[in-house]
Amino acid sequence: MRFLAAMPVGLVACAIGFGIAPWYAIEDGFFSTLWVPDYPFDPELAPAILQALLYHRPWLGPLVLPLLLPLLVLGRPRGDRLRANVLVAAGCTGLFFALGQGWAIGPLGLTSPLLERFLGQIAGRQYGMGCGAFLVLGGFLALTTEGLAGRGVARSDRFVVGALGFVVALVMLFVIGPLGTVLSSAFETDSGDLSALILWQNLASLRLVRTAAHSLLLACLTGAGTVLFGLALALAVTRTRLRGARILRALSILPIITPPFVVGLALILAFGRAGALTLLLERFLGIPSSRYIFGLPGLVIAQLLAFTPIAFLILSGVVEGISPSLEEAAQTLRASRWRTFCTVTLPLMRPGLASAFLVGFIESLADFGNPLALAGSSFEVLSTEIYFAVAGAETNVPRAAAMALVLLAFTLSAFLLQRWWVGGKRQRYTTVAGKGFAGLPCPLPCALEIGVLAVAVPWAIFTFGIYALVVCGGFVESIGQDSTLTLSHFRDLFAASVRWSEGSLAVRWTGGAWASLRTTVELAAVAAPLTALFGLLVAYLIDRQRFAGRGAFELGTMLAFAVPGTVVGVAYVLAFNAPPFELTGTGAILVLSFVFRNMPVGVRAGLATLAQIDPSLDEASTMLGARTSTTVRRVILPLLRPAIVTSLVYGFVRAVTAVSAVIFLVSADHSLATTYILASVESGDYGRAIAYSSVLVVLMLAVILLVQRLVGRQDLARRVVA
Amino acid sequence: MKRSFMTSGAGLTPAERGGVRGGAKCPTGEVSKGTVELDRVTKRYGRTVAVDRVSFVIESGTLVTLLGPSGCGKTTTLRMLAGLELPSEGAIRIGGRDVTNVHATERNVSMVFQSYALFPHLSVLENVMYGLLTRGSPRREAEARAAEALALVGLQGCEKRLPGELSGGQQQRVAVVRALVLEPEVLLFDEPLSNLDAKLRRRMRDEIRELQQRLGLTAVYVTHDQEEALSVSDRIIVMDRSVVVQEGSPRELYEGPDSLFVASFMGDANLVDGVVRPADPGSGDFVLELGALVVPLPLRARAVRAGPVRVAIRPEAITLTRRTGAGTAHLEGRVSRSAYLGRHMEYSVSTPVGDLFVVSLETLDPLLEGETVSISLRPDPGVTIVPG
Repeated sequence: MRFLAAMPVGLVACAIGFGIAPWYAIEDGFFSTLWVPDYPFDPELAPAILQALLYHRPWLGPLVLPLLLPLLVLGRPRGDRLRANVLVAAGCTGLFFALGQGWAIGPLGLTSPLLERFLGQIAGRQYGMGCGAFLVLGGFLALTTEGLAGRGVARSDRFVVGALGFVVALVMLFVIGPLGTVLSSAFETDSGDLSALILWQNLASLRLVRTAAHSLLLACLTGAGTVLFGLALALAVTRTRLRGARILRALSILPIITPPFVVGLALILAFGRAGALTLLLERFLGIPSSRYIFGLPGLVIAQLLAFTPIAFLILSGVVEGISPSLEEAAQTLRASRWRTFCTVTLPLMRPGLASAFLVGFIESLADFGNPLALAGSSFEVLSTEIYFAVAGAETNVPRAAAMALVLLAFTLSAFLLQRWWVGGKRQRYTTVAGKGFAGLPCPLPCALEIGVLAVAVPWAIFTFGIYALVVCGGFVESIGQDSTLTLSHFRDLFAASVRWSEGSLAVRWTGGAWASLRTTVELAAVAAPLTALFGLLVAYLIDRQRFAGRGAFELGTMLAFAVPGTVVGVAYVLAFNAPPFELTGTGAILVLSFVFRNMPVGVRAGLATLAQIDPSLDEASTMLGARTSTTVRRVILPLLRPAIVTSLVYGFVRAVTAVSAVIFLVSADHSLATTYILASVESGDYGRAIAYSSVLVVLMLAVILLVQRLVGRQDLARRVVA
Repeated sequence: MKRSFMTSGAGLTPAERGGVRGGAKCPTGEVSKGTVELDRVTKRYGRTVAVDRVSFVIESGTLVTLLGPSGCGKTTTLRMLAGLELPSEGAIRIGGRDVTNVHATERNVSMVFQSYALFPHLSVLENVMYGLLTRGSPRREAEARAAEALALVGLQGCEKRLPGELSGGQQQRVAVVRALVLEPEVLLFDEPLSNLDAKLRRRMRDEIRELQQRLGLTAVYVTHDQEEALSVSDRIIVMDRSVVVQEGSPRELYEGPDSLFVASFMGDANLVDGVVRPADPGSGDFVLELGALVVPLPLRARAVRAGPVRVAIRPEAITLTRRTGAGTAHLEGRVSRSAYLGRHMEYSVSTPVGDLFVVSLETLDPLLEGETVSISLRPDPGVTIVPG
């Protein structure tokens, strides 16, 4: 019994993965259970040990060595040096060998001519890794971290080293690795060789330069616009006598619950050639209809509508963070309201303004849905062009990769600039200290107040109008042309019949949208807890643990935030469509893309909450004899509850509304709500698209309101962006 | 006190439990439980040295204070004792066992945090039970022991409340009880009273001292408040800039500071230049001259040499008398500031040897600003020759 207790978990995982679980991925999916009858004597279902012995895959055999090695030192205590070294050696060898054989031998035998020169032709071939292989990989990773903890890494804390190991491995595999694949694809010629010329030709092409210029122009306009509107709204809410601050705050959760292209869609319905408002204007004012909405103006308007709420959230935090006592001080020094605003308030907000601009800039570059709906052929931008280069008529992967690199370069530099600006100490000004009475904020100068309201109120009304159109649009036959009220769109989408047959209730889901809605909700429901778990674990490691390379670790995990969804989509397609990690077409790849794209939300929520939890609580728990895992379970997790709820909700909502990455990854089996809507838009079926969109918006709103009611937190939305 | 709580040393004096003053070893050669030894312990963070070759011995059953200004390394030293930080060099022994590289969870040491660090989501009782449960006590027994310990500090009836619903003083007591209930070899206090108001601080420090003496605990107490240190400690270790500068009983430190730093950190001190001269040729005695004032030496048993010296004079060792005529053996001064503080008077006096700060208990007939006074000194205790 003692012998078993001392056995590292990793070893058990390895043993099961090697000797029992099917090594390769199963065609119909692991959870299908169709495979169970044939198991284990089948070349596709056998575990590694049988594969090596019976099915001519001898290269799996040597894995047994690193597997047996740790048995030699099992009797030794945890802190033992020899035990630690042996575990590290066995774990690393196993990892390298298991990964190496996966990359070296593919479905066509050896994958590289170089290997063939050394090993000659081999008969064997293999497919994507399955649950056995993943168990073995995880097991070897666990052995390695256990060994590293024994060698004194991270103060010999096994929990911390283990968690670090797994986070780093997953981020390498699902964030850094795929991006690396994009990079190498940019150099790839048709024959599979690498050539720098390809990348250069693509980068220097007039078409790419023009597209990149379009993207930058749009991003700058949107960034500046969102700051302007966001600031006006923030000032209107915090510094004027405007009633209805709560309504504006409520509006600020709209971009999170709205699929990103819905605004564009609504604009088309309102201002397109046959749009509702266009026709009204034509009839009463004689303004002829035109296609101006397709192109830069329409895009800027759509993105302003979509992203201003984010700027508003950031800037209202900034405005509230300015200590009113500073403004009071300025006034006691006989400064007028204007002077106070220009010399105190505005300079204090400068870092916040820059940060809001950069966030708007990044969002605009990464936006995929609105350009898809509005850009048309006159104003191409990078995100959609990447998609067309991968999925369009003229497929050109190196060109897509080159554009992805350019887009990534833009967003990453903006992201790093923003972090440097906001995170750096040099720009951090006094904020409200949180103690005692801080004074009253200075009222705005009269002219400014009028200006602020003149911007904020129309914006709010316009936003309301657009969303009203989204919600009501589904109930008319065809917006603009035929305003007959109808439920036919909803009937097409969500019809269901209930029948009483043979003593039980039989429901038939006849509507066209049920399949995609069910898939979406299922996948999002799987992804949300994983997103929360992973994000909060990362936040805990960053905030509470000291280890070498912590800065790089933090940057690497937050990086996912700056990678546009389109780039993620391309990267996943390129990285996971061939063994050893063959995930294309599965639900897993969608879940993974959700998890790693939305993980920063969990990290941010976790960091914000952890900052409010005194680290001496952890220490107190340690002093009372609790190990780190106990401390996390009994002290940190209960106190992190708000962050858990936030990241669960947003992990779910953002997974449901995601478009840019998933459009590359969906397959016939896994059609999603957003891709269904986009398909409707492309086929010109606006009524159906808008009806489905409104259902999604209402559904997400219901989720958020329900959770807010249950948890009793008013500021859920705040934590995501700020 | 009921049942098993703290049976090991309850009610016994250190000597009865085997701790012998002046040395950590028992007659048998066994080091007694709870003795703490630091042997040239150093802690570096990158280039900065937070604690520099600190050595001391704390006897079982005593309360020792680490005293010093912020940033002097006292908290780091305490955290190394706790096992929350590991020393870069040197050795730490607790009860004779080398724990230098033993993690906090494996040491039999408890700590009361400055912020109390009470788990806000657990009730008072659950907070106190936490350590017992992590150490594997059955829930029922842990509950009984926790309740018993809470009763010890008069908190019965608060078991079900959350820490946020308690007053500052009650939270402080819970924090102490939570640490105590594990019956640690050593109890550590990290500025435990700094979050309380002045009146409560005084009461709580008496409570802590009383509890420590009643249970015969070994305790290490960190504070920057010299008055707090004087009132609770058996011994005080004064630290400054990462090193130990002086160690001794409260009285030894206050009356015999052997450095300028200790003299001015432990209470107030006037620094005055004077001259030491032989009293009478051949007698071997010395006198100290401060301007016109001559006081006899030796003040304490200390080797002195004739020549210029710098002395530290406690404000209460100076006596001012109203005087108009000139005297030979007296130093004269002018009261430049006079403040009434209820219990005592504070004066600033300009004299030929410099400005002096004086405290006087005579409040009924205070001196006025501008009055001329003659100054006399009570040399022992109150005047110390300081090096430098």
